Amino acid sequence: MLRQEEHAVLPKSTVNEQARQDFLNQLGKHVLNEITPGNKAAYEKRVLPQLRQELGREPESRHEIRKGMVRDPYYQMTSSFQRTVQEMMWNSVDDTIQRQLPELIATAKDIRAGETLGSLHIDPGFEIPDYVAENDHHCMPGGYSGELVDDDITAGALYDKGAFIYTQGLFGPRMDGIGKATALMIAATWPGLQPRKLLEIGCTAGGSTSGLKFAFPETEIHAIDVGPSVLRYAHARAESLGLAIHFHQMSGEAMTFDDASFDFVNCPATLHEMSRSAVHNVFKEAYRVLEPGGIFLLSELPPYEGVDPWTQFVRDWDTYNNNEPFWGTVHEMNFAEIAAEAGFDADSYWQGNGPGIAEANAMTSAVEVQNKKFMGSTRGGGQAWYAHMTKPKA
Amino acid sequence: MSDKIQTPRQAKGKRPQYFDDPNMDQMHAMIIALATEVSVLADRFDTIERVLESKGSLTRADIEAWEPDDAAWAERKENRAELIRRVFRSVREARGVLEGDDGP
Repeated sequence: MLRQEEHAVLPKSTVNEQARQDFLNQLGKHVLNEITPGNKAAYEKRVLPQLRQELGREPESRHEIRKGMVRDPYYQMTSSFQRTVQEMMWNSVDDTIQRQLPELIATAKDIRAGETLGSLHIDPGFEIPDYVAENDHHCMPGGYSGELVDDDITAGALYDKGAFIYTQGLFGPRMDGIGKATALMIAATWPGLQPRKLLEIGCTAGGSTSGLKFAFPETEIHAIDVGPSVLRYAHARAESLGLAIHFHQMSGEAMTFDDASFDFVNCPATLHEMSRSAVHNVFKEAYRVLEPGGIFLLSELPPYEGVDPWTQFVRDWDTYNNNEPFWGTVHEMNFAEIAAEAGFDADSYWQGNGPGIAEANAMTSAVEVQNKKFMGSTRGGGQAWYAHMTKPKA
Repeated sequence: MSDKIQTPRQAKGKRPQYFDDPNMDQMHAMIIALATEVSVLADRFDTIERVLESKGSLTRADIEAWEPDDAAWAERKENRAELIRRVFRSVREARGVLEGDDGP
């Protein structure tokens, strides 16, 4: 049975709420595995011949393919399914949160007031960047930065419980799959490395961060995000799991950490939620806070470069249908160039596939890893895409 | 509850229109919501049956406290899959036609 592991601030579902969440999880899986694959035949048999006629040539980009596909009844049906299931999933979790919000807020507050292993630093003067404040990423109502009341934790709870459902459990019962996969990537790339002081940029509810802390218990770990509610939740969650993690409200574009204060910076699938200029700034800031010889590791969806237009179109579903306005953009960026501009050693730059979340979670028998896809129409659970680079020593 | 904190229910931004007729978008969302609620009822009914079977009588608290074991979970999962197959049969058949057979 696939169930999220309980902790102090995880909202508890009633029987009916759980039934709704279970059904939407299962329907989402059905849509991705049994319904969306039919789009390939719709494209080849109906849309492609029509596009060839209209264009007088083969379609050359995902944009041309999309213009044809949005007119196709099968694609209309599958997209409507995906969007609607996504919306209903968030609302099904919201029911659970809203019912117990005052208690959850109080629990998080009590944890903060008690003896803590890690810490929480909220910046009262912090301004949420527009690309987060004005967009509800992946259709999550209120987005990453919403704050409904004082000491709110809603966004964190919604992300933690909702993303478990919408990734169909792939992140693992503890939602730490990205961190676990990253730890496998670190072990495979730099055998024996135990970072001394590690920074995670874009921690949301702290799932990935906790995976890293479990893997590197001796490492001093700091994590930043822009949303106060996700940070309060992440901190209470980490404390409840017995993990010493230091959470800070900060933008990856302009951090208040001293120069050369970390030996490892990790950016776990965060860049696709940021604007183009923000991504450039994150590389510059990662460089600044790293000590000479320090490593910057990031995970993202693989770039579109070299991928055929149909596959690009399939992977790009979230850009137009799941409130992911930067999804397409970031997958066309040249991280190697951005890294070199920021000062990283160009020879040290590497990008490619590495351990994925499914692989990381195969270590946990409770996780069903047979589903091959999650999100949009496309993301493979098999492997993840990474890039890493080093700050020059001298 | 009067002091209930109102959480946002809709994501910011314009919702894409998928079908040629916008009412179709609404109809589809309603059908999925109805299928969900049927599944919720089926799960609750399943809980009631199982509690009754083991205890002979029940309270609402018994229902809320009851957790399926792995076997019950697997049965429910299969029942949900069957519900999905039945309610959304027409879409699967459309795929079958597209892919050149007479349907699954």
